[in-house]
Amino acid sequence: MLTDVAVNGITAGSVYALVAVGMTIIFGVLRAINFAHGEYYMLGTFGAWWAIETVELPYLVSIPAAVVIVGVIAFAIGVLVMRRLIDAPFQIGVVATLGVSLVLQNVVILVFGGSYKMFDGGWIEPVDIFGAGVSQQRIIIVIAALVIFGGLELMVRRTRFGKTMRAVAQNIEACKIMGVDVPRVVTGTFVLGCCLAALSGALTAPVTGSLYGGMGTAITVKTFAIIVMGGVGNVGGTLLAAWLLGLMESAVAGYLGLQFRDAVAFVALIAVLTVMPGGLFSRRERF
Amino acid sequence: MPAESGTLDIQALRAGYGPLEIIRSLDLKVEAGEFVALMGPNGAGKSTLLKSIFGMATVTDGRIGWEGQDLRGRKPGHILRAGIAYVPQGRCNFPQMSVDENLDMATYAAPKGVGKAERDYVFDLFPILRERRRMPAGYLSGGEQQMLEMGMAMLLRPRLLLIDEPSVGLSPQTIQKVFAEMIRINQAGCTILLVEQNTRKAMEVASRAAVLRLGQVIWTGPPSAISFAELGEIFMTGRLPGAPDETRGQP
Amino acid sequence: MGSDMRLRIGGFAGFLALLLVAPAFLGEYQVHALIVSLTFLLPALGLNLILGYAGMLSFAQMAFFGIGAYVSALMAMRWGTPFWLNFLAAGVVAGVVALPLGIPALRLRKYSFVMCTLGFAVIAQTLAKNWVSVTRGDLGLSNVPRPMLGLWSGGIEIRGITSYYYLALGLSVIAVLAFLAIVSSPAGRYMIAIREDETLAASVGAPTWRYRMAAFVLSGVFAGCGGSFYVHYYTVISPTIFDPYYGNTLLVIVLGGGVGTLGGVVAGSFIFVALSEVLRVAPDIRMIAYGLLLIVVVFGCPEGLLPLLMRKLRRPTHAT
Repeated sequence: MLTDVAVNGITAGSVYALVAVGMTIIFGVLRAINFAHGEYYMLGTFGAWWAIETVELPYLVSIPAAVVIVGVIAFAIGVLVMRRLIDAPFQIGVVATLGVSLVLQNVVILVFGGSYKMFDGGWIEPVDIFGAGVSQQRIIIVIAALVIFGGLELMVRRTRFGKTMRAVAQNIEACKIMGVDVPRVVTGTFVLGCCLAALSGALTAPVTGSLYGGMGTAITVKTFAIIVMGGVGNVGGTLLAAWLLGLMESAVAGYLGLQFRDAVAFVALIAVLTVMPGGLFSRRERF
Repeated sequence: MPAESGTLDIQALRAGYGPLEIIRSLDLKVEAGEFVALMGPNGAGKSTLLKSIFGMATVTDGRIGWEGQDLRGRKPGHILRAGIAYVPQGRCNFPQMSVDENLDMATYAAPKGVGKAERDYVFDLFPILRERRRMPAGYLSGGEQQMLEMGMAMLLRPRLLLIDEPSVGLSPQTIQKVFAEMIRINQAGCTILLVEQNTRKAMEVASRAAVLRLGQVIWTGPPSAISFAELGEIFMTGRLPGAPDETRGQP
Repeated sequence: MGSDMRLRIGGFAGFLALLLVAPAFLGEYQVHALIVSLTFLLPALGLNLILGYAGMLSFAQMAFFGIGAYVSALMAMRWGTPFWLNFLAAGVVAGVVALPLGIPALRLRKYSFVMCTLGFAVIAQTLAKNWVSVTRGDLGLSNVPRPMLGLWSGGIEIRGITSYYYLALGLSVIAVLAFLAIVSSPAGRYMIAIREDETLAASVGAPTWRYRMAAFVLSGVFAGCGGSFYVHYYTVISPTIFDPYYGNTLLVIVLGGGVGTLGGVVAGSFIFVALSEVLRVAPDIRMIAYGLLLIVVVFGCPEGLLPLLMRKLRRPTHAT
């Protein structure tokens, strides 16, 4: 039981982490809360499902396919909507991204129907770890999260694009004066963040086994709790907060009952913020 | 038209923010190597003028001539590459990035390969930055941050430097140092257009003063040609004491 | 300013007169839509208070609305208490619940506050779903008594749609007057000062936090009262009341109508509920159209529809 709780918790946490880190970098450059973020996770799952069912691609190929599809959608939304949020008051961002969320969700429901669909793909053979049977897919998810977080940390510190992202997050006015094309950086960051959410969706689908148009909302809402707990803009803190939430949810679901799982994030969030208003990892350098 | 290196020629400029017009038909010519201090009461349009030149305000009419080309409608990146740099009012660095990373960002708009030699030049201008190169900019003192920002502006070896209120929030000694650096930069051949609230200080260093009021240049000349009291009079009334009154008395 | 004031009072009086005679000219369905608009008006006024006057964006409004609805329904069902008491109790309970949430949440940065209030709505929904002995879980409560307009027991029972409409209109007028009284009181002026410049307001000794708290609690009272009317009108309530859809509608009403203005929020309640009803003709694309509309409105007139309209109306008299 304990091992199951731990394995489920770390897997779920890794899934959340991949979605949340995208949200946190987008928040960094744009200072806007993206209420549509869970929709890109949903679109990633649908992208992979569509590639398998309609185009008959193998699961392995359906993952990059899903990421590319979502990347294209995110690029369009980045140019049409997100760029306009630069320097906009923060309520504007809330309403605009809520609008995007409604559109994406309901277009998917319109095109594919509102019912649940079964996801057929992935590697679900169990592997023995400490006496518990863990599916390969879960191991892949955890490894993917670790690799991507390592890569992101490197990108943000070392590459020109990463440095520019941090610069926009720290002082957008100064960036304009250095001749930085801020809208381009915003769009780039947005597409990157959405692609990570899509990857997370495509990787998780074999574990959850089913998908439907409204599945993004719950993820969006949990992602909020994670990025606030992790200290907004803090990449490393996001991973730790996501794992922590995954473990807590898994423990609550295992010992108290599944119906309480979705409230855990917010009970934890309110508890954490009561004691530490800046989040768990706020002392570390931001972004 | 021959490229007049380092000459700025602004004609009939109208500019502001969105529908708000602040610069109202302004003319100003700055020759290469000059050090011009812009003066005038709050709201006269000094900062807006700098922003207009640097492509960060809404320009609705007129011409911003720079070395023979018109900068109107150009973006800051283009203007930087054309040889103009801008140090705005308030903090203009990246507090959680090191001095080195800040200087990296300052060459963002530059062609590839600009860097090493220019960085040494900036470190020679401001040796303190060399000592602090690994430190996050946010940990530097106010004066050091001002120098970092001037260093970032000088990194692309501009021929015209626009500086807005460099003395705000600095101690008198630090102000002294910052002004001394500006004179050195100017003597090295860089034209300077300075906005400074500390009028006395600005009159000491500038080779020419230009007084703005209600979005127009109403007087310009060497600082020695005008007394402090006269300057105050212009700020208040918009004309030089003893000069014929232009607003009234027309037969 | 004087002519502006007259325009406003005239506008309100005219609008109220129009609403008073409306049922004589409208069908049952349209009157129902007007009642829905008035039902949203109360929580929207509350949101306007916390967002437009205290500058904090709250997603807790629909949670307070739901709490008020459950409280009012349970009182009427278990104890047979009269409507006025249920209505007041719903407001009081929602306001009291706002207190312990506000204590940690209002000290946070703006976006952390947003997330906390969103979380509160999720927690409220989980509670409504799982506290089966009281709320009957996902089934919800049905056969909630209709409003009894009597001092204690008995009195007139509100039944017909027109009577409901006039009850809703009466409550809305009271709510609007209460809102006006709040924002024009010294406390309201402090709230505005805090919104405009928090540091300055704090430096002249305005207890920022206390006024924010007051705004938050009052926003809960407005929403709770709204919930009470809602539940006695529909006579059913279930945990779906806490779904994000309703919260989003409120946000659209306030931001789209004109945040920080009274007229904007009143206009927003009617315009956006009407739009949502009109879009019912195309159920497949209703939510897509609604989403697109949000995006267009928010970029097209970021300060809200009514302020935009007022400017357009004023321009010919003032400009040139």
